[in-house]
Amino acid sequence: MSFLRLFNRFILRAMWREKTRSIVAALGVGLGVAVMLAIRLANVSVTETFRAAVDSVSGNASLRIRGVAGQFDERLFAELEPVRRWGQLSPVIDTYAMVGQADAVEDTTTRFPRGEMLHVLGVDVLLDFPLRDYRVVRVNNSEYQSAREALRLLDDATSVILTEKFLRRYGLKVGERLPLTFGSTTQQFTIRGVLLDEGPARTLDGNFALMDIAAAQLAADRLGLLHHVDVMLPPELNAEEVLGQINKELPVGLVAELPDAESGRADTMIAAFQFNLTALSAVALIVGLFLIYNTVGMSVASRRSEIGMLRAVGAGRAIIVALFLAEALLLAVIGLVIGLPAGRLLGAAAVSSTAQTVETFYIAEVADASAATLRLSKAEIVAAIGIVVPLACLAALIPAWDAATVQPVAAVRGRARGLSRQVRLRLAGAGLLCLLLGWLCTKGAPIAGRPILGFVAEMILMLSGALLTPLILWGACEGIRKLSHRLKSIGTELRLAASNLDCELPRVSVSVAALGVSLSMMIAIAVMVGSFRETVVYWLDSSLSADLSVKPVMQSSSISEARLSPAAISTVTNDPDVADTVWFSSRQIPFRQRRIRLAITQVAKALDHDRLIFKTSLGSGIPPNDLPSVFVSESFSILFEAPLGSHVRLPTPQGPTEFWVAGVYYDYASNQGTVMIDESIYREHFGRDDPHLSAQHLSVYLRDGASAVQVRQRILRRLGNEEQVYCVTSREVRDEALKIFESTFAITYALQFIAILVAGMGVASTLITLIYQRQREIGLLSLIGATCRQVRRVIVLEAVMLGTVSQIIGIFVGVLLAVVLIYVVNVQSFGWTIQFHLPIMFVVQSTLFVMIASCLFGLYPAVRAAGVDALQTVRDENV
Amino acid sequence: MTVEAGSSGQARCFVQGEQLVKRYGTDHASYDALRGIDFRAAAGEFVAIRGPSGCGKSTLLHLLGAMDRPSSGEVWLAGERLDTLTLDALALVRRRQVGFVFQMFNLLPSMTVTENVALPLLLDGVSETEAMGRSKAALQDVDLVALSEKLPSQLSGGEMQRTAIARALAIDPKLVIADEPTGSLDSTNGRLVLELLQNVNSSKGITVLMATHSEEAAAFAHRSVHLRDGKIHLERETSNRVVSAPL
Repeated sequence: MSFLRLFNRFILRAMWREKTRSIVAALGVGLGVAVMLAIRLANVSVTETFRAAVDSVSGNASLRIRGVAGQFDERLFAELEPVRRWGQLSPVIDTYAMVGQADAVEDTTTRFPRGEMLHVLGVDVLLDFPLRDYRVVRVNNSEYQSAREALRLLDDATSVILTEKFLRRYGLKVGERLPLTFGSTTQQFTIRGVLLDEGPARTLDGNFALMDIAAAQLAADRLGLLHHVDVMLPPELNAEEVLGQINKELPVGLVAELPDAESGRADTMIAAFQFNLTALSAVALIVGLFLIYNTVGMSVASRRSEIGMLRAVGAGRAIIVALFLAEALLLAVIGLVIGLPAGRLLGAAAVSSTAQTVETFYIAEVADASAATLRLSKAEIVAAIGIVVPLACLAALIPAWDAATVQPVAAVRGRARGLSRQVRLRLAGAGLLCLLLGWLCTKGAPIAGRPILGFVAEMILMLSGALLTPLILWGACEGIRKLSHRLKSIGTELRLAASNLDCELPRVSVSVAALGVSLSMMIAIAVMVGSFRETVVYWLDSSLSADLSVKPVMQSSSISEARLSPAAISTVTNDPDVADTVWFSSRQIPFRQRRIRLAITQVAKALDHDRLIFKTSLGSGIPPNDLPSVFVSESFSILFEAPLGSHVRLPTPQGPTEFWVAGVYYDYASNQGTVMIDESIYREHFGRDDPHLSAQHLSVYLRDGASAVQVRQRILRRLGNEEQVYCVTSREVRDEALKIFESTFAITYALQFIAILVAGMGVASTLITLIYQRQREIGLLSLIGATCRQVRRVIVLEAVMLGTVSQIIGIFVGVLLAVVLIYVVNVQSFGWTIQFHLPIMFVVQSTLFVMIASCLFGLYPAVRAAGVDALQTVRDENV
Repeated sequence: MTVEAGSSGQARCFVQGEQLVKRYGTDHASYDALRGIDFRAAAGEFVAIRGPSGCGKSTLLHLLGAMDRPSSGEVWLAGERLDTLTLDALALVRRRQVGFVFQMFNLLPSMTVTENVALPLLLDGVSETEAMGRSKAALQDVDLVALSEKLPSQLSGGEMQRTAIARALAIDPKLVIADEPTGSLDSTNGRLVLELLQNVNSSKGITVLMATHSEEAAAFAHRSVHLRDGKIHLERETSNRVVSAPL
């Protein structure tokens, strides 16, 4: 008989007979594939969107010259004369503006959604036109293609050219006025032309504006400054080859790099975040593969006598292994068929969630556009197949080999049951060894900046939980059997349930391990997020000492250049009820292949008002060699190994300069790494590139007895519509921060929910199979007088026991995983120390939830069990 | 012979089947396992039901033992009509009045010998202490007290069947249904089991209905009923006859 014919008769027919089990397994794998694919698509999409934005804005630029500390003095442009011989240069102001008269509360009278951002490029049109693919049109039926004609469009400081897509979206026309907010100041601009959907106009889904460079400098409060100078080399020159030579010819404080260097820095920043998401999504897949193991294992167990017969008539071991591997393969293929399109659908949700987080904390320009670029490429399909098929075969290998080693005589005698004490203890011993190994892995340093060993430790800890499952389950069964004597109403059913599970320990352990692992991840995430939340709340409560907080409406973590206008600052500081203010400002500077935040403040005042919570105490000694001192955030200290008292070499316009780390403080607002510097030191070392340093954020301390609400109203009234600021109380800042916090972790909860759903399906599948295998015993129960209700109760109790034991394992392993997440993975990924906090209420609630859910998952198998034909039990034996 | 009054006032035997028909399958493809059988057994009687495979002897036991309902006809046990009862009510009858012994022993592999014997009592809500006490007593009857904490997998075939008999006895049944009780045993153990059933019948006065292929086994009964093609073909008393059944 050919293999295919045998597969059809032996495997396909059995799969068809056990449809529910097959469907559940395939659905489980499908969900796992879908989740993993969705996260993968989201990660790729977010990265590609940013890269595309960078590429489209870079245009034909071969190189980019920027200040070593970011923006730089425009007078340096004149010193680029030697570079001109290499190619055409174009100076650029690269900034953001908020559309409309945004306010602290949403203004429903405007047509723009709150927070609509425009990427604004300020260029010298004549110099820039060859570099970027602009196609500018005007609506009076004549097309303008030349730079000179486009220049005329931008002949005054309030002119702006917008994209066709943006204008169409909001029904705007050329000639109309549009309010734009740079920093805190809102000005009216006139739309002079339309950019076709090409080149830079494609960035941010059309949210792009072109301005004259001088107008952009004025509007963005960057007079006398440039963000970068783009260089277009002739086609015969290779940018990488001449880069070194050009760098030698640049004045101090400037550096040339390839345009995609920015993408590389962005990739590095979000790599840890994306890596963590991928690791989490893999859990759903692992649980799906547990289902394959479970299904094939059940398939083998329920057909031992058939396998024995096959072996008796001469089927070799290889054929038996191949048959069951083929079953796994088929399940994996069905799972892929379900999972690939489902992953594409889930991807859209994952994109919006991850992109929002990435935009909030890391880089702008991803949230809106990334969902649009989501696509299921051949590479993704091949990757999914490449991961799932081998893993499915691997998962099925153990039961398949078990089937192959069935001896014909043993098979006819009946299936093996229970798990010997020796095996239980051996497995538990291996589990304890894994615990030790996992602990050792936590001691390892990050690899390539990622907590690889931390995740390996997590995997090993999960494995240890799985290995300890048989012993814990056996212990639970024994305990319940003893306890059942005392329970009159359901004692007998409970004892039966415990005995049944004990008897099926080898099979049941797999399902309990799968569910336990899923639950452990849920508990771990909950403990980690709960701990993080408690820590952040403590940090917020401690550091938000000010009564009011004032910042420009468009200030965010990823767009940190928006500043308060001098008028706004003056209005706030001159209010009669304001006793004191402390201002903060920050900018992003490149540092060792990443971007960090350079925060500037009035250090003495900030310390007076306890604005900083230090991790390590302030150094009291005099800085060695009179080095200027800085404070660094904990994430900076960990990521760049800069503890208290160490030296950091920061890029300044005068070249790299050494600073002394005088303190390490907690900062949960960003994990980019922040160096905090006093304004006087900043002016001395960075002042050349930032002559008009002003506040991005004001912490306002009121006089005793003053009402924060009244002062806020007064300040906002005095600022009028020209100044767009958020003026919020500490409580509002705290609430907003926690809201962002919750939304950031929403996707992790979603991932865990799916993993638990898959595992729950595993429990249902296991119970259905066990009922199929135990028809004789269930029938016997009925024969000796058990009512349908009692039979149902036994099965539901089995389900609840499975769920509860899984939850116990989940709590035990989950707390260990949380400890690794908090003290290893988080520290290595984000540089944050979190205080461990066990959310007792969550543990209690989730335990109840799991018990109820298991009860529900057990209902269908219970109904099936109650329908078992008792007479068939005795009929069979009389044949 | 003991005769009881049925609900209609008509005198009935302790176990009685009237015009029993059992049909299996669908309208298009059905067959009658029983074709209008009238069967009676008195209280305390030991009846062997014999016949070739497929003649309907097990089906008849299932109907008389409240395990199944006939397609037509009436079933009476101790004055109670069974064929009109719900499945759960039948379960209660089995739980309280009928003990079963099967060819394949049918013990729960996950429970010890004592627990298996006590199970019907526990399912009936009898207290743990009482159930275990009655279980021990039943095990004493079959001489298995020493093995009471063993699992079925640790017993021989004969010991498993004696456990099954103990389970059947633990509920103090009025009727014991034994379906090929020696079918899976060697001759020594088979004889031991038959002697036990005979002892149960004679010492406790429990009615025993036993399906068997074996003439030797049937010899332990008072009366032997032969079935063929779903009908009673022949009925005769054995040498052990102590009471006569009315027909």
